[in-house]
Amino acid sequence: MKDFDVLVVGSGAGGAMAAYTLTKAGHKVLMLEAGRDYDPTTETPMFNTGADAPLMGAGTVDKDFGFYDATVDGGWTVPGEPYTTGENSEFLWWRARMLGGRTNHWGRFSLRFSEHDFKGKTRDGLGADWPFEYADIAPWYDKTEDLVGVCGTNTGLDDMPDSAEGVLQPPPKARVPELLVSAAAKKLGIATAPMHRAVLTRPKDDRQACFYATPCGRGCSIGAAFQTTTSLIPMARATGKLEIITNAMVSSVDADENGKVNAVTYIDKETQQAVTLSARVVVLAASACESARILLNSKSEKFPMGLANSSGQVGKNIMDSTGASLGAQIPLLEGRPRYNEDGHTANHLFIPWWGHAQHARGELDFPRGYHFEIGSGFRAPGSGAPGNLQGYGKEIADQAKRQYGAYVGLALRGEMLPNAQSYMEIDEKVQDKWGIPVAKFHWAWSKHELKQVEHGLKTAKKILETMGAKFTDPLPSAETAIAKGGQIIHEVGSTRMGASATDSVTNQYGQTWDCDNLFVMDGGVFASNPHKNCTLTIMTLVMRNASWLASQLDKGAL
Amino acid sequence: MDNTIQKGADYQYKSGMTRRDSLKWLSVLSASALVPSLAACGSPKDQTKAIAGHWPDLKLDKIQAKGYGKDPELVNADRMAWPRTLTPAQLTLVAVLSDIIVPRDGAVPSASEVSVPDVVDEWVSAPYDRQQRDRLDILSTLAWIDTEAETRVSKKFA
Repeated sequence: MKDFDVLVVGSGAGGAMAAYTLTKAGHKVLMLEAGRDYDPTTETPMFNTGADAPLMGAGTVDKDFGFYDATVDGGWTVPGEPYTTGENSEFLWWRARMLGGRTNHWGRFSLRFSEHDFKGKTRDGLGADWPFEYADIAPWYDKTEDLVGVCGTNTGLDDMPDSAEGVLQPPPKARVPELLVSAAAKKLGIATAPMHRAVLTRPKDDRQACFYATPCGRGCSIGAAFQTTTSLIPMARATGKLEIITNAMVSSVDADENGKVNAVTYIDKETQQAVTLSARVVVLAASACESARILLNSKSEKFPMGLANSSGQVGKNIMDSTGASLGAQIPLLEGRPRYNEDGHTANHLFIPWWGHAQHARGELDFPRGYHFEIGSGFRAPGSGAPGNLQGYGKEIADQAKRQYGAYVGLALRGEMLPNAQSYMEIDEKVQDKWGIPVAKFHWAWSKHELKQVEHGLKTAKKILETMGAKFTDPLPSAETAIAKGGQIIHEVGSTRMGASATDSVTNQYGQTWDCDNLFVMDGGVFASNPHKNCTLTIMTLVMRNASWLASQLDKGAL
Repeated sequence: MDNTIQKGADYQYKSGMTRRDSLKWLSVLSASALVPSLAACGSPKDQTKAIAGHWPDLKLDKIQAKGYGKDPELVNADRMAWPRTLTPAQLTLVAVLSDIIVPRDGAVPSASEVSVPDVVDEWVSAPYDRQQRDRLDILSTLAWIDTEAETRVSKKFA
C-alpha cells in the first residue's frame, strides 16, 4: 500500500483502535507491528489442562505467566532486546511481540476514570491535571464500552461513573467467597461492586458470549474476552482500508526542517534490513515506553533531544500502578459444598476505592486512592501444592479437599504520582539485536505510594480478620510488600498530554506540540495514572483522538 | 510403610513415556553425558559410615538442554522438549514415596497411577533455574533416603 493516509505503529489497544476508527472514517491505514502475526482462533489452548503442558503449566523465564499465557516472544525479557536500569533502580518491562500486543492476555479490567481522577492536581496540588473534563470524554467511554463489550453495572458509587443506559452487559453472579468478603467489608463501611470487565456475557458482532470455563489469560478463540485480534483488527481489515506489516520493528520517525514528520524507518526482522516508508501522518501506539524510545531515538539537527521533545518531557513522568497483596485461609469457607465457580476467570466482585470523603476530610496520610481485586474460589489446580498440608495418605488428602477453595487474597492496585526519580532515557551504550539503542529505566517509589500501601495492607488485614482469618506474623513493611516498578504492567505517562507545550508532549488529542502530523495514541499520553487499570481509557482516548484526527484529515488541515 | 511392602521387593515404576519418546531421547542421552551420576556423592558404602543426619553433597552436572523457548506450540504442547534424567531406580523411589503421600483411596488413583514420577522427572530434568534448584533438593533427598535406609536396615529404601 503506497497511498495510505496514516501510518500506525503498534496493533494493541491503542494502535488497533486507531486503525479501526480511521478506516471506519474512510481513511487508509498502514499498520506496523514489531511481532509476528497471531490468530487466536487457531492458537488459543482453550481447553488444555495443566497436565497437557510442560511442568504442569508452571511459569518459566520463557513463559513468565505460565505456559499457556498468550504472550508471544515476550514477557519480562525479549531475546536480543534488552533494557537497562539505573543504579539502585529496579524496573520490569513487559512486552509482547505479536499482532494484538498485550491485549491478547490482559486482565480485561475496564473501570472508567472520573472527574475526580482527571483533576487530581487541582484538588491536592500533586502531579498533573488532564487537559479535558470528564464530561468531554464520557460519551467516548460509552462508545468504547459498547464496541469492546464490557460487563458490569452502574453502582452510583462516587469512584465509579455510570455508563449510559444499556451500554454495559450484565455481570456474572458473585462467587460465595466474594459474598463473604462483601459482608466483611460492609461491616467496615466499605462497599463492593461487580468488576467491570471487557468480557462478553451476551454475544456481540461475530463474538460469542463467555461460557465461563477457560482462563482469559490464554486468549479467547471465541472472542468473548476482548482482544484486538478477534475484534478491532478484523473489523478494520473488513473495510478494505487496512494493511498490516508484521515483524516490522520501528527504529525512528523522520521529520523535515519545518518539523513535519515525513517518514518512518523500521527493521524488517525477516531480512534484517532497514526500510524507510514515507508517511503523511504518523500515529505512535507502540506502548508507552516503546513509543517514547522511538521518539528519543529520532534525533536530528533540528531535534537533538529526540522528536517532539522540546518540553524535555519525553520519557519522564512514568507511572505504574502500586501493587501489594495479602491473603489468608478462611476457616468459614473450608469444606463448603462444591459447585462450579470458574466464572469469567477474574473476580466478579471487587472493592472500589471508598476513601473520597475521608480524603476530603483530610483523614488520610496519602493523597491518592486504590482498589482491591479479590482472588478466591475453586480453581483448576496448577503446578504447586496449595495451602499448608501436613501428613500422609488419607490425612493429607482430606486436608487438601477441606482447604480447597477456602483461600482469599486481596490484591491492591493504587494510583502512583509521577516523580523526578521515575523515568526512562536512552542507554547510548547498549543496542538491541536490530541495532536500536535501548531504554534505560530509573525508578523510585515516593512516600505517597508507600503510605498508601501501608494503609492498604492494614485494611486488607482487617477485612480478612473480619472473615475469620488469623494472622500470626506481623504485616510486611510497605517497602517490602510493594511490587517493583513496571511489575503491574500499567506503565504510562512517558509522553504525557497537557494544556501547554512547555510541560507536556501532546495536546488533548495526542497530537504532539512540536509536529502537527505526529500523534501518540497509547498509554504514554496519560497525565496521571488513576488506580483503575489503563486499557479502557487508552482505547477511549484513542477512539476520541483518532476521530478528531480523521476530522482534521477530512478538513485538509494536515 | 505398608505401601512399600505391598509393592514387593521387585517393584519397578513403569514410566508413562511412550516408546517413541524413549527412542527419541535414547540417542540424545547416549550421545551426551546427561545421565546423572550419583557416584559423585560417593558410593553408598562410603555413606553408610556417615552419621544418620548426613546430607549428601551432590555435584550435579548442569542441565544443558534448551527450554521450550518464547513461542512454543501451545495447543499441542511438546511434553518432551528436554530429555529426562532420573534413573529407573530413582523413578521407582519417587513412585514409592509419592504413593506413601498419596496412596490409592477406593476409586481415587494413587500418585504413581497418575504418573507423578514422570512429572517429577520432567521437573527435575528441566533446564530452568527454579527446576534446577529443586533438582538438587530432590536428588539429594532420594540419595539421603537410600543411605539412611542402608544405615538403619542395611538395604535400600525401595
